[in-house]
Amino acid sequence: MIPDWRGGTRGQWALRAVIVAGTLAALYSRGLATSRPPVWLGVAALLLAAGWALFPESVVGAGVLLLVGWAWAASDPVGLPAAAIVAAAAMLAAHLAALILGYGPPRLPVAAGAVRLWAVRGLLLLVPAVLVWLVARGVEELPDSHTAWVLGLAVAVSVTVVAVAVIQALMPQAEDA
Amino acid sequence: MRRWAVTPALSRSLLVGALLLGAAVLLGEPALVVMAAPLVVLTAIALVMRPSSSPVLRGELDHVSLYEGQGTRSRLSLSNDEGAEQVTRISAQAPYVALHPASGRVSGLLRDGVPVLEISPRRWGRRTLGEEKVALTSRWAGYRWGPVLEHGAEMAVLPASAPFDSSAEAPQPLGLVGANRSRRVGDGTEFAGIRHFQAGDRLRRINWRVSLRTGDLHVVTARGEEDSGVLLVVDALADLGRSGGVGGGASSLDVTMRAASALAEHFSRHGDRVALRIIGAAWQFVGFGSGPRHLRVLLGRLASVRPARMPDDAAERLRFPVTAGTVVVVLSPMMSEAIATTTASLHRRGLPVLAVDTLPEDARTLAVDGADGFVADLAWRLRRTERDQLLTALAADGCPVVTWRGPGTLDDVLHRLARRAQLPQVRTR
Repeated sequence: MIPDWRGGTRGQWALRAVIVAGTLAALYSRGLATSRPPVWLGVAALLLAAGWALFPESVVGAGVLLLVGWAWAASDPVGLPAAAIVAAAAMLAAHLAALILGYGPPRLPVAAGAVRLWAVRGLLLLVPAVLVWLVARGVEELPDSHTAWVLGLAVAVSVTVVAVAVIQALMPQAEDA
Repeated sequence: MRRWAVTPALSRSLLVGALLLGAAVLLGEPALVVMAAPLVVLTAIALVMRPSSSPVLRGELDHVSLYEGQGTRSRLSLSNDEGAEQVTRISAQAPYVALHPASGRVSGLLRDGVPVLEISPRRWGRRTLGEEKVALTSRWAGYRWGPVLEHGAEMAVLPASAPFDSSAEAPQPLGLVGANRSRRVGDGTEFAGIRHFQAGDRLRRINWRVSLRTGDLHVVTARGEEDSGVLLVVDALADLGRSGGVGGGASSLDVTMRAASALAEHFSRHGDRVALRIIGAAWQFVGFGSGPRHLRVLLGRLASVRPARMPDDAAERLRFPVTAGTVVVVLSPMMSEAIATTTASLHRRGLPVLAVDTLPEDARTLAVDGADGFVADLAWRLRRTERDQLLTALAADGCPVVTWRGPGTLDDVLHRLARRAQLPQVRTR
């Protein structure tokens, strides 16, 4: 059954706009460091992003994000530009906008409290991206880059696990308080 | 679905994060790690926050009874909801039920309290209010519980009383105590005359001015004040016209119900005994009674009315257990010969009967889909002609017919019936 998305609220349309804008920003931020992506790729990303905005819980969303990642991987190598952080932020914004839209069907008014909460969480989630970018920039000059990447990935996973464990340990205390 | 299931958002972040990380390692592209990092962390936190509780929902309305046009709040109480962060409520859309917000959809964080829905039934009758679907989302939106269907409460929405007031007295009050002036001399306050003092007269009734002038004791007599029986006969055989609920257009049954509600309330407040007879598929009857509790019973019975045709032979078996002096008010659009026959037979029993025409001016039958508009219009005109003949026959029989117009509808007719009641009558039994 196709959901009736035509009667969306103003807040929902704003979130849909964030999805489309985030996708295109993530794709074209690559152009800040190297050449722009081809037109056909931009059109494809735009169409898929529009589909994702209308059906935020569909698999199109994963396809769009992977398309953006493929566009970054397939372009000319230019090292690790700061534009990668912009792309990460844009992708995260699109993902979170779809997440909030997924709280309910079309015509569901968007709760301002939920938007504020996810805005704060989004900023916190960007911290790992910045940290990874700094670490990657630090190990960029090392001679054995492959080993460095494996080590980096291990460190990233370790940091994630430790962070999750810390959060899990803190949650009951926060609830008790 | 009464269990926690993975949300599409978690699936998406897990898939994209893992594939971007893998591609980054395989291709040696550090930018992909940067892009995947937020999604990986989000996925990890959402997975850790998986709830294990089994939430229990309970919906409730602030009111158990409403008049049409009134509003109430639908609240949702949650228990055993550890790990839930967000609640979404989707209310069912029902005819003649207004919601606020109009979409019937609300969502919010549980820490701010469960969002409240406002509900207002716009038409009398039995309505199911508060039916909705509820979904919960866990912290960091990794898991979703529901949506589950929360059944609403069936409520008898009482008809709003149409504006009505009357200063007319009952034509033949024959009760015990009440507010209607009786023809008999009694212990009331309305002056009846002055006569010689008799043994047993109260001393406070002595008129000293007349007594001193005549030299004999004289007392003032007064009319008794008695209650009256009122039988409301409601025609529920058909609902003609289109109902728009409170504030919108009214169908014939809307006018009938609101008028019956107004009359019941008016006569109950004046201490009269009111009974109700509904003519429809089910022959519902509420016996004579008075007071607020009886009024609630009457309104509740009115709220349960559904238009339905009467069995063919039912008109001949209609019985009205009324005694002499009972005022019979027939509320009907007068489109049925059975109702006209019933009205005429009650009138011939010598009862003060008045028929209230409740057919709205703009009422039309709703033609079935595919029906020829010309034929439907012709059929409606024929029915109107038959109705005019019935009304003419009733009027010729001496039964007053008035169109419902709110305050003062019955005054003139009741005054005339009261005058007629003082004349000698021939009754057929």
